Amino acid sequence: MITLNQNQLVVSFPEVHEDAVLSLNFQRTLRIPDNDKVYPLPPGLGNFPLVHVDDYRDEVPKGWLEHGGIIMPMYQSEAMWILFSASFSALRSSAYPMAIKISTGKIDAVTGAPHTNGLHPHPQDYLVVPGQPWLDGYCVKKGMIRQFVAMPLGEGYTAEEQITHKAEHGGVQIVVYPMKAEAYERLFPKVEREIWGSRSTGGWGAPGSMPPPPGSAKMMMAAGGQAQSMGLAPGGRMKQEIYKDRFDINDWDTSKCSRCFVHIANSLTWREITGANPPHRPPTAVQYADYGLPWFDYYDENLKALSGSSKLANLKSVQALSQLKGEPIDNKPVNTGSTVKLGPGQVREGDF
Amino acid sequence: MTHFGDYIRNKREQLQNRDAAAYSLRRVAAQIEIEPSYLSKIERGLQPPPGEGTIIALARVLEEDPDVLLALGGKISEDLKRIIKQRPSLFAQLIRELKDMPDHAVLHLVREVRDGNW
Repeated sequence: MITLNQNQLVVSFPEVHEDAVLSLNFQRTLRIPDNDKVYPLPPGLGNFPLVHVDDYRDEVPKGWLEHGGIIMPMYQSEAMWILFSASFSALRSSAYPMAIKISTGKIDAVTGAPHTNGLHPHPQDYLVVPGQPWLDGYCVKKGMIRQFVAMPLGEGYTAEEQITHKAEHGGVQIVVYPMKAEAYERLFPKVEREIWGSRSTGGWGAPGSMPPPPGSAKMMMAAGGQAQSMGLAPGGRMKQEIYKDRFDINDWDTSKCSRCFVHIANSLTWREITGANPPHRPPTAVQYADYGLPWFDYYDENLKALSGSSKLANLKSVQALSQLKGEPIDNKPVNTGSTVKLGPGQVREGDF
Repeated sequence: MTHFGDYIRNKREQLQNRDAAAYSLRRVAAQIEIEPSYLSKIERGLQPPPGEGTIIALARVLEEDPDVLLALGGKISEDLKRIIKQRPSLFAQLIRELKDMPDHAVLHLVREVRDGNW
């Protein structure tokens, strides 16, 4: 089951195992420039607000109701990353492993292939948590991603439109599969010692702003009317490894899954649907760097990185397409200075 | 059932053992902006529990859950009232249905994000 708790998606499988709990949240961040440079990890600037599609039945397009799920506001050309926080079991010295498929516009962000059900190891089309702390973009090459950047659906920028030549779905699709309970208990036996307490990995339960209450503002959607749906498109290059599954494919319980469609509304549509203002715009990368604030690097020497998808590597970036269209976006290079090196369990936050 | 006055007096006196000056009747009354004599009467049950704002302020000073103190004072917070007023018969029915349910079962009664067709 998936619930919404203070702007986090909480995925749990109580029917599989009491430890099978994972939270995901969508982090606001700055958009990195798209040039020859491969940038370090930008900070997290707090959660995006999230609301149930069903709370705005009269305001959202029919298609959104059919998809179910949640709505998240993003400005055009704003970037985001997804933070995964698994609940740590002190008794077994591990968090419960989950396999997560992330698609944008129903295009897999790891392989570039259309979304399919189930888990596939060759090429691997999912992430494994714990292990993978976050995902910032499309896996284009070993150790490198292209940042997720929101663009209007229908203008040709999104990964979905570049691959399928259709502007059909937009948004982000998340599917989570748990490890089989038997495999979890075999691989992570109880530690035979007195346990004084448990801890959670970073970000778990971090308070965010409350979602706005069901608004009174009405936006009557004309028959067939389209709210401005957004999709995600590839932005600048960033150093990030997507890790290979270290478990056996048969350890995953593919008979159970939880799914969520995350609709992305631009700021105007969000205001019309919810009656609330979206968060203020994030700083530009130049503003952030000018303040000398930290950038990050992440290492986990125990895991192997996937090689990346040539299909995704061949996509045109937002910057490249905007140049071709004669509507260039801000793309000033920045000097990121020194970076903060992070290991497993450490947080990646910036105060701005 | 615990009396509101007894409860807050016990709690204040427990805190007073930790920091006598900070949790004297006078100091606590000053922090929640009421007269010490009024607080003393509330503690002794000679006055009914104060209004919602004062109870919430008192909860903050005494490190208590405001919903617990409000309930002991026979009050429901404004935000809960608003929620109930939107669908009064549905919520009344829900609360009656839940009254004997064990805590863990109530905690499991949460709203799922609905998955649709995609």
